[in-house]
Amino acid sequence: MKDVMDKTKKVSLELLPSLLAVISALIVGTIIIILIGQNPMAAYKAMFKGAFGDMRAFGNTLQRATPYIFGALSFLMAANGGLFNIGIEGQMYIGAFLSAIIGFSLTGVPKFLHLPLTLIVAMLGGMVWACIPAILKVKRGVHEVIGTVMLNYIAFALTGYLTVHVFHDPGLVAQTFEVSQSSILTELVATSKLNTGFIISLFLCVGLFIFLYYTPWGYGIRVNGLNSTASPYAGINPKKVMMASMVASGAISGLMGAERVLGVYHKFIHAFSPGYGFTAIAVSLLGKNHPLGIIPAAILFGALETGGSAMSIQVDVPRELGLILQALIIVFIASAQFINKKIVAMNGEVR
Amino acid sequence: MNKFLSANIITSTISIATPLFIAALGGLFNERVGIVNVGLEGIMLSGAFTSAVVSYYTGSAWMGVVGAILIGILLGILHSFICIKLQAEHVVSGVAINILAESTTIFLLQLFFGNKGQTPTVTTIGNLGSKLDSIPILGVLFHNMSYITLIGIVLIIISHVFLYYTKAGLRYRSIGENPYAAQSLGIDVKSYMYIGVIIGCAMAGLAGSYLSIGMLNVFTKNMTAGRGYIALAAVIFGRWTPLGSLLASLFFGYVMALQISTQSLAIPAQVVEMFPYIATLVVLTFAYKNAKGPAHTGRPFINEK
Repeated sequence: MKDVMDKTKKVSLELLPSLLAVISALIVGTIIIILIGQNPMAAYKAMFKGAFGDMRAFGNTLQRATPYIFGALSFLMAANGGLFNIGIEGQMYIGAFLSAIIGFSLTGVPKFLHLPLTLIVAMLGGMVWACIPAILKVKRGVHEVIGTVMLNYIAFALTGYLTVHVFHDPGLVAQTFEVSQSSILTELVATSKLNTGFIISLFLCVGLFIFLYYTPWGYGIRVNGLNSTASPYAGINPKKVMMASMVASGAISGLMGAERVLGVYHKFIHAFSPGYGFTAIAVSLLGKNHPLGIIPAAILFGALETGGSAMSIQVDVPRELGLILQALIIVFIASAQFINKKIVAMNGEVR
Repeated sequence: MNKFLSANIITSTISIATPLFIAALGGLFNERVGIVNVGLEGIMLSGAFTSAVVSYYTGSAWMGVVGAILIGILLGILHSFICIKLQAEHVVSGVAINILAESTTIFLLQLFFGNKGQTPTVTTIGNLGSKLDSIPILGVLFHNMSYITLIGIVLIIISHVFLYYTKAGLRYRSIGENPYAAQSLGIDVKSYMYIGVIIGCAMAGLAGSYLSIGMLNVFTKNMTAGRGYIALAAVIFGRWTPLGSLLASLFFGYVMALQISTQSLAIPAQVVEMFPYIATLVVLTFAYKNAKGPAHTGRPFINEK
């Protein structure tokens, strides 16, 4: 019984900073809405209805949440291993582009072969792109933030170049040809673009949860992330663990791109991402870098986007308010890490 | 005229390099006191927006520049508060600033001007024109130069003198290397850090103003287009020094100017876009093994007092 109490106390303490961050953001949002002369209750109500009001709205919300689930899983995988992966965006572009290439260049292949092959190639692409900064870090001591930031733009420009100059679908938009039916992730809720990629992301969450918390390898990764100078004493090679966690992170980012292409756009569109890979970092932090914690965090971020659009139609508030709320949550969550440190300092035994 | 070195290319090299080296100088002031700032992009965007809006409503481009510097200071206070006071992850704060700037500028565009794409045309800073023509040889260089570029060059010189020829500059540099050692010598480390980050962010704001009221006469959404990250690359490429950052920015600017003027040579724009990043990675990997920048950058400074 005492164990259960302790566990509950621990979980609620862990959740506290995230809840405070969301509430603080909503309060600032309220002030903004009042400042522009609108009714905050009406705006938030329209937002909530637009995000969860009916099956289609909810489907839209989950569709928007899907890249954040993948992206946050990617980030937490690297973070647990002790690396800060802000290269998710670039790894995602590589995965997305490769999935489009495999998607349209193969025809007449049965779906049970074509789709998995496409997903695997996308994952490999993301892995390779994540390996470069990981190797630079391990071999040459180049900070991973610098390496990944550079590679983001290289991926962006490279896929842009190949789309415009090599695989260009005739027309004004910089996009590739459409992928074949046999590589498409099936839509789950009509007109929402919510697709089976979402289901894959949920399985991945559960899988990574079991891996990180109930296997010796997962334990090794987490120990390294907490303190890489101590891990050799636990028989862990920090360099190997960093490489492995970064490779896994890149593979998930590749999958994240494939989901957008195969499930939503059905082709690669140059510069399609509004910054999924960066926002995903915030989602991961909001979900306490925990594979299950990120699910509600991602759904919240998805809801702010779909709700924001719905709100702008009903109330005269620009839909970017949803994005501003996202940004405010990130600012507050960055600040809230401080609260966590205070809590840890107060009850030393909690962690 | 030579394809690779004409007056046109020199003029556009300087123009493209201006926002880069001013922002890079800002980034350098952050990194030298141990603070990573990937929020340069967002601060530049905020500076570009603010200067355009202020210039539009007051009719004075110089007020716009002041506005851009003020918004930079404001975001600098936010960034330094999160990184120094709260000791949070620097990159998270930077990412938050970028997302905040992107969404807020579009939000405010819609509120002020009723469209999400751009502002109406605004008053610009203008060029030096013939004012410095009397300087021998170099005078021609200044002819098409913006006042903001001139301010930037002056800032580079002042920063160089400050960092390498003053006592305060030596202290400033020591903080990024080892804040604890600096503190043990009686240096007020945290004050240096706050001031450094805020000044650096003010410079990034100034750099942004060049985009909307120096180079162009309008703010368009997301007009920074990754320049904040190129500036970060320029800091590294220039080995964390003001003159190095200036040269790196001019080099990146030259490559981009060449691409624009030689479109007939068919170097695709995207290949040129990649160039600064690839060059920086290559240099980091091979050229100077031990040039890793200030040793303490990116790590929290925990004051035990």
